[in-house]
Amino acid sequence: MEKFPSIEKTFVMIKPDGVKRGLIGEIFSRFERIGLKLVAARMIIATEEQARNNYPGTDEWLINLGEKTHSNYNNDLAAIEADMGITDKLKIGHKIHDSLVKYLTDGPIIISVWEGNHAVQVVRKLAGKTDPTLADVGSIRGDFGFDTPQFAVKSGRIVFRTLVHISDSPSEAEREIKHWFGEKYEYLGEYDRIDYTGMFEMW
Amino acid sequence: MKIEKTVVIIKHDGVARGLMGQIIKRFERAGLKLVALEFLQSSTDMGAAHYVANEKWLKTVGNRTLEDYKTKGLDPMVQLGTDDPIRIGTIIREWLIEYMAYGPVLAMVWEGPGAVSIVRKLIGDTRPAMALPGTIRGDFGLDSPDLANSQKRPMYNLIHASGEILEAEQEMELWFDKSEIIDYKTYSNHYTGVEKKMTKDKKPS
Repeated sequence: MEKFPSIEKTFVMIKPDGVKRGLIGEIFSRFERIGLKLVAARMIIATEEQARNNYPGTDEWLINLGEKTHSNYNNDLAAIEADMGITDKLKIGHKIHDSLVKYLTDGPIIISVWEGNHAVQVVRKLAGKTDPTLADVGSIRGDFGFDTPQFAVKSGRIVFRTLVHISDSPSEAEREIKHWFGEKYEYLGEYDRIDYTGMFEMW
Repeated sequence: MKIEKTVVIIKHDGVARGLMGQIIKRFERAGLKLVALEFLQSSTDMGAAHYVANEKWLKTVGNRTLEDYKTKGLDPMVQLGTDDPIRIGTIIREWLIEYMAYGPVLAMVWEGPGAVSIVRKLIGDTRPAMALPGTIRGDFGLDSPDLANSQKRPMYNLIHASGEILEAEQEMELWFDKSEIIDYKTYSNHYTGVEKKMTKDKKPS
């Protein structure tokens, strides 16, 4: 695949809600039918450390999470205080980070690596917007979710369920593959998706 | 019905044709629970350990071919140079072993009440051409023993699944480490007979 520089690898995690709802096959088939090739996959239970370090965890990142919460509430501090018990952006960031860890360790997850033409962008398109209520119909989150930040806070989960975690960029994909697979990563992409071989033919 | 675990391997034809999701989906929607999964490149050693050369199994495999030849009016002596079911089974076993290492496969363990037989029902007849529509092989395949044998290869039938509980246990040991088999609850546990009943105050966890 060296002769096609646009062939990328991207990391996809099916989160515990996707596994427990029985949507693994549905999600896999969406990636397969568009022509992406599976090159690594396993089912694991994330350790707390693995889940925590999946995110940058810097003050800047935490404060940014707090800021997003403030803007979701249109800066209505009383409402934030009522729902979360705190208003400080850094503290909110920590609370969200803790909830993300709880979410990812709530059950088994499927970690996988998919390869294909502009794989990062294609998978982002198929997954849809992070907020399921805003995700397009036809995307994974648009078709299988209705969670929102506010609903998540009201139900005590803080973070909303998004079914999948996907890489933002090729460099982030590389970091995430290393982070989640570690020593056990083995590239198994030396095969052809026979129904898509025409895509690679020279005329 | 006892809760059982069974090994399912999506062979390389299923991987290369992009049917993994379709196959997983069918087990999920039946209410089975995935408890282990690994995408891996197998070896001929693994294949040899997987397809244990016991007489009963070789005979079953050989007789299946003989039966197929009979209905199609083919002479096994001409096709394979023997009409002994065990020798035919041995030939096919060699092809199967080789095929298991041909490309990456998806190894899984599925759990549920009577999982071993439920999975076999969902998969359908070993010979895709004879498998009923609605089964995985019936919907996604058309291979048959006579075609496969004439091309000196195993049947492309997408999936391997354990034949019985004892076999499932042996295969689980071969393909997975104990620590890789995960215990958890799906949201549908209550309605798939895994738990007695759902009460209002007890949310599925």
